[in-house]
Parts: sequence; C-alpha cells; structure tokens
Amino acid sequence: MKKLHTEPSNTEDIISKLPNEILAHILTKLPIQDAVRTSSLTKRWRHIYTEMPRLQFIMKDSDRADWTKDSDGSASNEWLSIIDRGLLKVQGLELIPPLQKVELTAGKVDVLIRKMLWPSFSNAESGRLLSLATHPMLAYTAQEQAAEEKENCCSPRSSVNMV
Amino acid sequence: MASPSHTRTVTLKSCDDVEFVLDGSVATLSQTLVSAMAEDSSSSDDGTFTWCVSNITGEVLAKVVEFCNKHADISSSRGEDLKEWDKAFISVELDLLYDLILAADNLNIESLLDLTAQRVADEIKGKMPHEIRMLFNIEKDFTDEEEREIRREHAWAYGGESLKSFL
Repeated sequence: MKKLHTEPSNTEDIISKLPNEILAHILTKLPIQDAVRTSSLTKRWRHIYTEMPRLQFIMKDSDRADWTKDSDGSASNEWLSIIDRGLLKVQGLELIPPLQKVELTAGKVDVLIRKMLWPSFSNAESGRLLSLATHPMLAYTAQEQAAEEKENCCSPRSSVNMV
Repeated sequence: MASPSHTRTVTLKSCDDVEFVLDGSVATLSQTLVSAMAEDSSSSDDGTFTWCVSNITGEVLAKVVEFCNKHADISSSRGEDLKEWDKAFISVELDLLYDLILAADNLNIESLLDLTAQRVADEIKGKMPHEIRMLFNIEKDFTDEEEREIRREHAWAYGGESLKSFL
C-alpha cells in the first residue's frame, strides 16, 4: 500500500483515542511481532494486543526454504517443531478471549500438523474453538481433532452405562 | 432474490446536514443500515428510508458513499481492478483515515473497516515503538525503565521481521 508522507495536520494523538476493539482489529492485520511491539508504546497500548481476535504467523519464503527440508513440500518435523514453539509463545502471551482464529501463512502443510501442540492449545479453555488456517487452504479445528481422536482411539472404551 | 432493502432508496444524512441518496443495494454494505431498515416498517410504502449519521461530517460521508457505490457495483468489483481502486481510495491523510475508520465502525461496513485497518497496519508494520510514536504523535508515558521491562518480557518481538526471531 502506498505510503503517506504528508505530515499530520495537527500534533494530536488521535489513533490512541480509537476504541480498543478497533485498535485490536488493526493489530490483527500485522505479523505477531509487530502487534506485540505496540505494548511498549504507552500505557494505553499496553494490553491491546491481548484483545486480538485473530493472530497471524507469517513464514516468509526465505524462511521456509530453510525449514521445509522435504523435497515433496510436505511439512518436515523440524518445521512442525517450529510451529509448536510458536504456539507455546502464543500461549505465553496470555491472550484473552475471544481469540477465534490463528492464521498461519505458510506453504504446504500435511497431516503431520495434527501432531503439533495445536489440540492442547485449542482446548486450553472450555468452549474456545480455534481454527488454524494455512495457505494453501487448510482449516483444521479443534472439534475435528477431537472427532478424529475418538474414531482412531487405540484403546476402545468399553461401553459403560451410567444411570 | 432481492430482499426488501434492495428495492428501497436510502437517504443518508451527515451531522452537518449533507444528504446522500443511495440505492438500497448499496446501503446493504452497511450492517447498521440493514438492521435499521429491517426494524423500520413505516416507510415501506413509498420505498424511501432516511438515516442520520451522528458524528460524521458530509466530507467523510461522501468518501464512505463513494466506497459503497464502487463496492456494490458488481461489474467493477473484480479482483485486481478493485484492489487498485481501493489503494488509491485509501491514500488519504491520517486525519481523514481516522474519520473513515470511525464511520466504517459506526455504519458497520466490514470491507471499509478492513481496508482502513489494513492501511493503519501498513504504517505500523516493521517500525519500532519510537518510530510509531513519532508517526502518530503518541507521547510516551512510561519511564525508560518501565519500557525496558516491557520489552524484556517479549524480547523476541524486537528482533526483526523474520519469524525466526519470534521463535
């Protein structure tokens, strides 16, 4: 987008007067580092990033070249452990609900993604459902994970009737 | 099929009494107008609906109407062309940008809110806190020690653009 080089017509801080909801919306348009950096602007901005309804991880092509070793483009274990570490960091941010979506902009991701911390992350709080969207499109929700685990359960539950 | 709101004409009135007449189909970009029209049954006979937008001047509302007209026009709403148009549309000074954000929020126009938020985000992206403060005239109210402490908390966020610094 075109940069604007004109000076603001006054010296007032208008952006900080926008409602939290709008500021948090603006931060969702940024890579996570940029969003978190705004916490050191002023007291007003200190916790705005924790109100973001969505998060963006952006993996650059140059990064991916290092991380995705597999020639077929499927996600390597190394790559997955990196995402896991990322999700741990996100947990450390203590974001407050309603975080509804984590977007991961990266290359091909195969089913290995299910081995990540993702399930525990998504189920961290009851009722919180997150979806992980990658590019190309793959949306994977905690509910689907739960359903699959039920299906593939290695130790089938004996049927118990509770009255 | 056209809903009733599509067939009506909407008059938008700014806080300084400037009026804009919109096709109902254009007005449906605004969730606020959609809700207001759904609740209003009185004017369904003559097909007109008037809505006063508080706190938004005619100058700002004119931009909002321009945006809605463009985005409701299906023939022009195609990929790259519309992107280019949006880019030119949003190249405004910061003061007007803030007004557009508030108007988009007030009228609940998602595509305009997204565009304006993206524009502010583009200004912030890649900048360090002191640069952001300078750009937006934000006055630091932390002591240096407090700021250092906050930065230590998430030191990874200050290491550069690559995700590697994050991890």
